[in-house]
Amino acid sequence: MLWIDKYRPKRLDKLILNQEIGDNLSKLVATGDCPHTLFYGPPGAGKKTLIVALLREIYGAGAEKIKVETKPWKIALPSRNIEVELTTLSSNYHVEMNPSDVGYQDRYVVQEIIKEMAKSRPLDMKGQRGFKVLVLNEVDRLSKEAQASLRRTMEKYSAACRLVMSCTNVSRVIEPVRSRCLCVRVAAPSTAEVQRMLAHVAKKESLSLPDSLSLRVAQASERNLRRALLMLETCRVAQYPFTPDQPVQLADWELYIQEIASDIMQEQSPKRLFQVRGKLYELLVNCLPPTLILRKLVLELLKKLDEEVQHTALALAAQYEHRMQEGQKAIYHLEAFVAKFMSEYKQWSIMAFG
Amino acid sequence: MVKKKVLAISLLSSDEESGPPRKKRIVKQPSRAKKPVQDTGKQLLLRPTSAGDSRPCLDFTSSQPSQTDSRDQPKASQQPETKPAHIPAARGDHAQLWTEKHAPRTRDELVVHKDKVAAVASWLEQQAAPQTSRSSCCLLVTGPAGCGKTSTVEVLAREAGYDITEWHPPLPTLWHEHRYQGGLDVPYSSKMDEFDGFVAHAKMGSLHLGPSAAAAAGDAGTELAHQAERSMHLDADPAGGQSGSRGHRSLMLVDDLPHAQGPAQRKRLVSALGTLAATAQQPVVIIMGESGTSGSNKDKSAPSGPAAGAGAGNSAFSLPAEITGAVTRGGATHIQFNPLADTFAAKALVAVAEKEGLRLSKEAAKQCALQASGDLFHAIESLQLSCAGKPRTKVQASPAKKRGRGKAANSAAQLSAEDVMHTNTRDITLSIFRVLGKILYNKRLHPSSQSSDQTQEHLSLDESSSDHLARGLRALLGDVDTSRRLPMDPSLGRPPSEYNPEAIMLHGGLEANSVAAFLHENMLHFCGDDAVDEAASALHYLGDADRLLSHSQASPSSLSTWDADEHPSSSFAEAAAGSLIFPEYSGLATRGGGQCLRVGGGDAALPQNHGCLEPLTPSSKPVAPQVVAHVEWAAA
Repeated sequence: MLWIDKYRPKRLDKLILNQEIGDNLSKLVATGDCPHTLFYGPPGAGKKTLIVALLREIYGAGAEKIKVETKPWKIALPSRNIEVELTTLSSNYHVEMNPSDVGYQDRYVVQEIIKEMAKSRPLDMKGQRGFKVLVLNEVDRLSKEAQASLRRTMEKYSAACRLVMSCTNVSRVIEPVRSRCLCVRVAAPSTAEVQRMLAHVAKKESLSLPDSLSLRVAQASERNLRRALLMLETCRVAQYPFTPDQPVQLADWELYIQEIASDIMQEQSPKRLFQVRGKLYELLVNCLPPTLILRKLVLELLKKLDEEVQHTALALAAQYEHRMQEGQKAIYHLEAFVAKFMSEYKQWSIMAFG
Repeated sequence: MVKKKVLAISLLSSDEESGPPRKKRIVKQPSRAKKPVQDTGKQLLLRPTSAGDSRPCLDFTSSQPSQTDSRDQPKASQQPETKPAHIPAARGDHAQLWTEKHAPRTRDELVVHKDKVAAVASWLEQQAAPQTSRSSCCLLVTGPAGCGKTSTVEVLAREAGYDITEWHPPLPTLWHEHRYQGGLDVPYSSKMDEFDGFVAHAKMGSLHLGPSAAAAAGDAGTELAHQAERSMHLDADPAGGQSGSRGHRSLMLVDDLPHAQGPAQRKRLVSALGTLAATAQQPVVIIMGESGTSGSNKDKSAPSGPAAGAGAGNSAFSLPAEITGAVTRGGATHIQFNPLADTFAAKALVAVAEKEGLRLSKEAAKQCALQASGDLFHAIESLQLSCAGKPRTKVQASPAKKRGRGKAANSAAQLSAEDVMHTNTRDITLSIFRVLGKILYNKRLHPSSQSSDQTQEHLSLDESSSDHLARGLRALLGDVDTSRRLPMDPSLGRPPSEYNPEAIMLHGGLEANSVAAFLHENMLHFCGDDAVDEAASALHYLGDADRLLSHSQASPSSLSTWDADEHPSSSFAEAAAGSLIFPEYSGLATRGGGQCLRVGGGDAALPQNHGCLEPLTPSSKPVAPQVVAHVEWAAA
C-alpha cells in the first residue's frame, strides 16, 4: 500500500492538517443535517481526505465499504439514444463519480444519471439519515451546460440527496452552483506543514529522515502533500538510509517541460517552434492536462526572464489559457502561446541588446 | 453515364423442360451496354457466330414496339438472333456515344498509369499459371468513377486470352410488380438473394461454366431453362462454355454490385463478397467504384453544406472500406486506381476529338478534363455534348487538319474553352492536398495586375490563364467592396492572392475542423526562418477557428436538449474557414518576401472575413466581435 493511502486520516477528529475545517464539519454533522458542500483547493491539499472523513462522520464505518462499478448507462434523448460509460464508487450510503470523465456528454450524465440517483430516497435503515450523498469530483471540469443542469438538480432533490463536490479551480464553477453550496476552501499546506507530515510518516515507518532532505522534498513538492509523500517513498526506494544530500527525483514530465522552456529561450524561430510542437504533443499524449502544461511552462520561463518580460509572459499566458478554455484543441493554443512568446521575447531582446 | 437497358423476356413453356411440368416463368434478363470497350468487348461477351447464342430477346430499342406486350408469343427463343442484343440495329455514327465508340482497344490506348496496368497484367498472368498453392484467385479493383478500371481489366484480359463472363445485377422488380404477376409461382428473390446465389455457384465454377454443362446443352431452350433455374445472370454462358472447350480460360467480372441499403443488407453484401474472394475457383475480378478522399466523387457533389458532405461521407465511405476489408481478408489482391491526372485525360480528349474530326485546343481539353476531375467518362461525354452540331472535318481530310492555328480555321472547327465550359455543370471538388497546397503556397497575382483598374487587369489575366478555377476566384476578388478597406502603408501591400480562400474551402468540401488541423500541421514548414511573428499570428487565428468551432457545437445545446453534436451550422464552419485566411496569408508570404504579411493579408481577406462573420454575430455574441476586433487589430 502506498504511504499516501496508508496514512490517510480516516476520521475528522484524526486529521493532522486542516484540523480546523474538520472540527467545523463535525459540528455541522452533529446538528443532524448537512448542506451541499463544495471543497476547493489545489491538488494535494486534502480535499478528498476531508470528504472521506466527512462521509464516515455522517454514516459511520459503513461508508468505507466501497464497491467499484463501471457500467454503461443508456440515456434516451428525444432524437436518439446514447450510451455513456461511467465508473462509480459506491457504498450503501453514497455514490461517488467523476462526471467530467465522459467529456462533452457530461450534461447527459448530470441530467439523467445524477437525477435518477438523486430522485430515489434511501430506504429508512434503522434510524439512519434521511438523505444520501452524491460525491462529484472535478466539478470545475464540467461543461457550463452540465453545471447549469446540476444547479436545478441540487434544488429539486435536496430533500433526499446531498451533493458533496470537489474542484481545484472554484472560479470555473458557475456562480449559481457556488451559491447553493457551503464552500470550503482547503488551502495547500505550508512547507513547514508538509515537513511535519513527512516527519510523521517517517516516524510511523520508523525511518530516520534528515531535516535537510525533508525540506528539499517539501520544496520540490510545491506544497502538494500527495507529491511530497510519493517523493519521499521514491527516495526510500532509491536509497536507504537517507543521506542529507540525496537527490530528489522530479517527475519526468517536469524535466521535459524544463527542457521545452530552455528550447524556447535558446532560439526563436519557426523551426524551433516545430520542435517544441513535437514535445508538446508528447506531453499531451501522455495525458497531461494542457492547463498544467501551460502553467508549468510559464513558471519555468519566468525563472529565466527579466522582470520586464515577465509581465508580458504572464499576460500572454493568461490570454491563451482563457482561449484554451473556450476552444477544444489545446495544441493550437499552447503552440500559439509559445509562438507569441517567442515573437515578443525576440522583439524584446533585439530592443535590449540590439 | 447513359446505360441502355435492354429487356429480354423469355417465355418458357412447360413442355420444353424435361422435369416435372411447370408453369410459365418469366425471367428478366438485363443486359447492359458495356462501358468503354463496348464494341470490342461484345465479341467476347456475345458471340454472334456461336450456335448457343440464341437467347430470346425483345429489344425495346429496336423498332418493334408490338413485341413488348406479346407475352404469349410462341417461342421467341426460336428466332435466331445474330446481332448482339444490346447494340441497337440501326444507329448512325452520330448517335453513338463516344465513350463506347472510342473505347480503348489495346494496351497502348489505355490512359491509366503504367504501374496499375502492369499490376493488373501480372495478376492475370499469375492466374494463367498452373496454380500450385491454393491462394485466392480474386482481384479487387477500386477507384473513382471513370478512371478506367473496367477498361483496363477488359483490355488486358482480352490480350491475355480470357473470356469474360460478367455478372449483372438483374433489373429491379418491385414488390407490387411481383404481386401483379403473382399467379405465376415464381418465388420472389431479392437481388441480394441472387447475388448470394451467384457467389454460391462461383465456388463450383467449373460446374456451370465448364465446357460440359453448357456446351452439351444443344437445345437453346434447355440451356435457358438451366439459366432460369439457377436464376443466374451471366452473359454469354454458351460462349463461355464453348470457348472453355477450346481451351480458353474464363474470367468472371463483377462490375456492378447489387445495391445494398441498410446495415443488414450491407453486412450481407460484404460477407457475400468475402466468401466470393475466399472460395472462388476461377479468376474473379470485382470492380468497385470508390468514393475516396480524392475529390472526384459524385456523392460529394454538394460540398457547400457540411452536414450534407458529412452524410455522404458516412454512407459512401464506409461501405467500400468494409468491402475492401472483407475481400482482402479473403485473400484477394487489391489494386487501387487513382483518379486520372488532368493531363492524361486532356490527352485522351484530344485524341478522341481528333478521331471525330474535331479540333480541340489544348486549353479546352484541359478545361474539360479539369471539370471532370479525373472522370474520363464524364469528360468525353461532356465533350460530345458540347460538340453536338459543331461543324467537323472528316478525319481523312488532311488539308483541314493541317490548316494550322490560323484564325479562320479556329472559327470553323476549333472548340474554344468557353464552348466546353458552358456545357459542363459538374461541381469541381478539390482533394485535401490540393486545398492545402493552394492555401499554403499562397500564390500571388503578378504585381502588374495591381493597377488602378482591377477588373481590366483581371480580364487580361484571364486570357493568359487556362485555369478556370483561378479565373472564377479572381472574378470574386475583383468584386471586393473596396470601401471597406482600411488605409494602409502601400509599401507593405502585396498583390492579391491568386485564389479566394473561401472558394477553395467551398470546393474542398471539407470540415472546418480537419482543414484547421491540416493547416496547423503543415503551416510551420512554410514559414520563413525568422518569421516567428507571422507564425504566432497564424496560430492565433487557428485558435480563433478552434474557439468558433467549439462554440458552434456547444451553443445550441444550451437552448434545449436537441442534440447539436452532429450539426455544426454551416455559417460557423465558414467563419472558421474565414479565420483561416490569415494563417495562410501571414504564414506563406513570409517565405516569399518577408514583408509584413498581416497587413498584406488584410488587403484581400478582410472584407470577405467581415462578410462571413456577420451572419453569425447574433447567435454567438461573445466570440464574433472579438474576432472582428482581432482582424482589425491585425490589419491596422
